[in-house]
Amino acid sequence: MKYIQIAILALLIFVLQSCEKVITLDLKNTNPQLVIEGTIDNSGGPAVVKLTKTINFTTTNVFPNVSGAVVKITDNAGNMYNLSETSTGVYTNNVVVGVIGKSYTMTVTAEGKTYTATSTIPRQMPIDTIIQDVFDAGQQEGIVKSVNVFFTDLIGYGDNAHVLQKINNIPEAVPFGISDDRFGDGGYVPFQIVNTRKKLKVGDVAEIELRFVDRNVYKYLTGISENAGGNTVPANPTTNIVGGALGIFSAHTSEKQSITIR
Amino acid sequence: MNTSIKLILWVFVFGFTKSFAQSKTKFTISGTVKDALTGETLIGASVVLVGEKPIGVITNSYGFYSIMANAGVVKLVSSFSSFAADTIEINVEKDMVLNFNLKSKKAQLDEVVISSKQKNENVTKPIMGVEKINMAQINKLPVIFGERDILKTIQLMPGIKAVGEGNAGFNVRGGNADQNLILLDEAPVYNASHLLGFFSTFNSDAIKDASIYKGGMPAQYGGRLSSVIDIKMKDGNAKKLDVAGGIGLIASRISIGAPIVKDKGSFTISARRTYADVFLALQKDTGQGKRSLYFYDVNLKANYKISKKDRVFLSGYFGKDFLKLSKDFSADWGNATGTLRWNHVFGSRLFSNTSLIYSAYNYSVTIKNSETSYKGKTNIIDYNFKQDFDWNITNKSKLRFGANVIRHRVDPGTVDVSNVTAGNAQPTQKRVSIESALYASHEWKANDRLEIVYGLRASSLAVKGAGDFYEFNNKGERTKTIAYTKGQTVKSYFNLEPRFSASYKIAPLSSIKASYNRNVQNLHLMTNSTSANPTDVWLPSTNNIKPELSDQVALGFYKDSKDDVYEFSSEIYYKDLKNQIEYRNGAEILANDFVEGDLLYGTGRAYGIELMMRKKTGRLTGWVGYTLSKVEKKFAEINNGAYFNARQDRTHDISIVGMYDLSKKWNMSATWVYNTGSAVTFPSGKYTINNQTTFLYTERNGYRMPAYHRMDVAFNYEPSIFKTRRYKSSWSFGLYNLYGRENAFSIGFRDNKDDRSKTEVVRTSLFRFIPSVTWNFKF
Repeated sequence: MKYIQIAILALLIFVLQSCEKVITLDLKNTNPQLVIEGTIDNSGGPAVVKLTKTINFTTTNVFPNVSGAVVKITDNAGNMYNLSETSTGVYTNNVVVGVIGKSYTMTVTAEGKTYTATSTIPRQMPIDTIIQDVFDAGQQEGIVKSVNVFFTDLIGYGDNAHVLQKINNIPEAVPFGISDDRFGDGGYVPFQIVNTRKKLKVGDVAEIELRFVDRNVYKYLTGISENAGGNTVPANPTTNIVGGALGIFSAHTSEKQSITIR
Repeated sequence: MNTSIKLILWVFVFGFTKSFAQSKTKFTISGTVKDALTGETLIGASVVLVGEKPIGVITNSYGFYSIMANAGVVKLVSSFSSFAADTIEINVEKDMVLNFNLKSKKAQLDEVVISSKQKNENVTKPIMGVEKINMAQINKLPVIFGERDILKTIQLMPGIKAVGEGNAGFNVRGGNADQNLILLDEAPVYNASHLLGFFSTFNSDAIKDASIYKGGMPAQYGGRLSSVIDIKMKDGNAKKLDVAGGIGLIASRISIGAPIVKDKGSFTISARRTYADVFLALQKDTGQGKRSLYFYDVNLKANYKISKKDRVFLSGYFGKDFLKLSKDFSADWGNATGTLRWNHVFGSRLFSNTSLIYSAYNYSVTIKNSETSYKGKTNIIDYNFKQDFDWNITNKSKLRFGANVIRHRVDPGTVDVSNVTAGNAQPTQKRVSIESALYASHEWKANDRLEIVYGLRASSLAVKGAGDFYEFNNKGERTKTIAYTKGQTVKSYFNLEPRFSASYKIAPLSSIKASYNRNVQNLHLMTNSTSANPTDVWLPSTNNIKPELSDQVALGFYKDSKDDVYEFSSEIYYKDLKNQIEYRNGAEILANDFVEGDLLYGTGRAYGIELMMRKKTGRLTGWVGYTLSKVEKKFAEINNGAYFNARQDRTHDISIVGMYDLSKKWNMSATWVYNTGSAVTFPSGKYTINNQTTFLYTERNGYRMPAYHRMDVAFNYEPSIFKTRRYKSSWSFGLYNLYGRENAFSIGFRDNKDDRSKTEVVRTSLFRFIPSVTWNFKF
């Protein structure tokens, strides 16, 4: 049903002979703020916490890393795991593996302040299949190739899917890459991934990651998605991090599959 | 507030005793004022009793008047602008019925078009912040795609601003777009626009009269905070068959009016449809099925005079937008309204109108994939009963009173899934509520200088079961679910809305006016979008959503020139707003049963000054309007609890409108508008999440869009090649955005496609140099 939003945006593009121009705006500068991005999943990969800083709008996209922080993750069974700085600003632990149903609390002490966040790994639904498909993206973009992920939703409302993709190993945006099950509980879900800014070409390898996230993470991602949509008043999304940092701590399930575009 | 109610009660009692004391020795003359050519009743025509001290009354919305005169021979003059005045002398010896048939001064294409501005009405009328819309002007003014549109024309008035480029949505004195009550023959229209807001739902061929109240609403109106737009459809020609129509770039129109029984009843039907191939881009078949986008609407009205004292009206509106983007996606939406009315005159001074009103808005969408089709719908359905009385107590005192009960039923979103394998959609609660009101309003000419209108509206809303109602904590998480049975009252709200306006003539041609108004709004449009979407849902107040409140005070100064060519008006206002609604970031509105958890509640304030200079007669007519205003909101959870500018806060707003008769056949018009850009939220920094650039916002609506300005022109040609009076035609040529200003429709932020280390600002602008041609005919 996210398609309704897509359709409305598409309609504006269809109807109006709109004209886009890159302009310069006098945007205010801000003091750098701490951004925490923490993940733990059940796929056996490391738990990773990245610490970066915000930069001014006009600055080149190189985000300063924050070094020398103390980072740990505890679970609701009382186990504690320290994360060590494996590269500048990136803190990892290879031992801890996320378990479905467990809650994890991340604690970060950086530059004299402590931040905490708690997230729970929800239940998982396996990828049934991924296929290559096409999508009619309107007059300007035409027909574009897409990748569709299918899975069967479990009965009971409250499952939140988050889809990410890498094309030739480079992370790419997935517009409307989140979906809850309020319109298809217990159903067979076709999740179509369309990115008109990075069109798929023959020979590209698309890697799809299907995550299931808890409600707070879902809300955070919805906020980011709406800001990007440009149709609502943007605001910093509501984070689960307590202590005043930007970012999110996501404990989730993870499953990856790849497809080569023909 | 208690003191203001007491004061009103006191004036009320005093006004009546004074009125009754005068009403003994006179007889009443009453009747209807009509257009002689078509039999169309004239709203707001004046009837003046000539004498040493002339006294006048104005016809009501059904063309009815009633005036008291001493026994003996009296002279009555009825007049209406663009109509020749009619004088009748009669010998009064009992209560009598006297109808006026006024002849149009200029029998031309716009002959049934009505301007309701009375001589010096600007100065004398006690109501403030009201604009009568001149339908003749609407036909002359330039408008985008050449589609004449009431809702676009009113945006040229001070204090009324477009929501966005070319949009039929508007903000009145800083109010949100959902705070305008739009009435079509008394039926509320919930979504007054077609094609995502670029056209209004009103076919101007079908409209007889329209007024907009932006403050000083009389007590008979209620339910919205900011304004009332009261639109009346034409009754239809009671004398002969009458066909009019037009062919434009976007749509064609036709209307037919004819008597049912000559001079007893008539009907009219107007229809309009856009061309399927207007948006050529949509027609390209890309192998995904044919795309289409169109709308149509139909206005119907019939009336019949059962007896000298009884008349019935049946009117209806039906409109639909249809959109198909591919074989897998289609949607349609539209309004339907129906009004059945009965006018009855008790004696000769008490006019009664009883209305049964139906009003609905539906949205439905179908999405298919290879296995499954999803059908989603939302709707609001109203059943409305209204009883209004106009009691002309004396020539100086008039009482309006009445009652209104509306049953609202809202379906905030139901999704049907065709295939069991696609799963179930979460059910949403249908909401039923009963909105009722009682009102009384007294118009009183205290003396030659002072005129007062004061009244009270008592309104209530009862939220009814059946259904689950939810409670939420301050994070918006659901904490409790309470189930109610059918008809059980969940919550009820009661509000008193005092209304007061007064005008005082400080000199023969100048006056000052003051008003105070409280308005209550119990229906709220759920939208966190910056543009109007057909999917937006109306929700009534609930246990969580409280009625929105507005208190407005206004002061004004008015002056007319001696020859009544120029008029000047200035008004200052201050509005205090309570229980305003905003959305949490990431709020999901569509078919979300727990949407109330995503709402935030706060306050607001709006203030400003509006200046207008109008030239009413001569070859050159038009006006210059200027508004200086501010509107701010305050929410504990937004902007650290500090006041922030509402999106519609635009400091300066100028509109210049000119119409010039070049010759007998040609006239031209031009408009120029300028306003400060909307208050918007732009990023003040960026960071990275999931390897994507994400923006940092530091202040709500702390930035401005670039200033908006635009000039439009139109030329109208009315040839007189056909000498037969029966057939007439005219041409309109327009150019929207004459100097091609690239006004910003939106400003977006994204990483450069080719160099992702750079972030760019992208401005989208829409309409530059949009020409239009329209051909109109009438026979």
